[in-house]
Amino acid sequence: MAKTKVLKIDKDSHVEENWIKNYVKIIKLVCNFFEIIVKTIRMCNSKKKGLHFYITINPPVEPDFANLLQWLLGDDCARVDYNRARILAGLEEWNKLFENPDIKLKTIFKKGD
Amino acid sequence: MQTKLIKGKWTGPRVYRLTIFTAWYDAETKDVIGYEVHYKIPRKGKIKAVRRHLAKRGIKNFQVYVYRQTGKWIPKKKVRIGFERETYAPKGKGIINIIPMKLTNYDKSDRLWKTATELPTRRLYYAVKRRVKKWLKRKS
Repeated sequence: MAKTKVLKIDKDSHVEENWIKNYVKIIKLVCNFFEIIVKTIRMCNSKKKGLHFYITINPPVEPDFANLLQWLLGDDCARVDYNRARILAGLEEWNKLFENPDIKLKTIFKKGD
Repeated sequence: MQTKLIKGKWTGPRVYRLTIFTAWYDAETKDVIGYEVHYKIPRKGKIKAVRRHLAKRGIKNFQVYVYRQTGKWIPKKKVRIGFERETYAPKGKGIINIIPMKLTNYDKSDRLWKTATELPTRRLYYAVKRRVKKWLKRKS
């Protein structure tokens, strides 16, 4: 299976901007711990009740490890389980995050800022 | 790739990814069985219209596929669908690529399927095939 360079996190709650700023710091800390560089973090509202984060990383990582990173960053547990099943089946496109049509992503962090 | 931006908006084809899922308890095997089918097509047009048509084609195809595999007809209300965020595509196509997956060996304590098998891929035409009625054929 091909390595992935985008992590997708599903958070089931809406929070204040300060909390999101702190979450960005946590994402960078966790990725730095595993010697991974965060290039960009983009965010949008989910279909029902929360937030979605798209994190571009370098270097690309194995699917199992990417799923672990997503779980460490607080991804929805049911989603982690479904991703594990898809990785077990050997699906290339295992990292699924469902969105409304015409959703726009907002860049909240870019390396070099 | 030629850019297809008009006033900053992408007007070219997009890749649509649809996931359809269902699960039920099978009394014979005493296990929860799940089917998850992924549909993918690059297509041009309005996002809502393509999503609507793809969902319609996908759900019908999913119900027929699961019936042929297991002999069980899944009603629409038991079927869950989701679309991923669309990505840019260089060219549109009229054929949907289908990747089915079967989930078995459900662990109640972990709430996780222990066995997931990718099934043979299939294809489906995006447009519904026009069937000319027999009496019209005879007339001509």
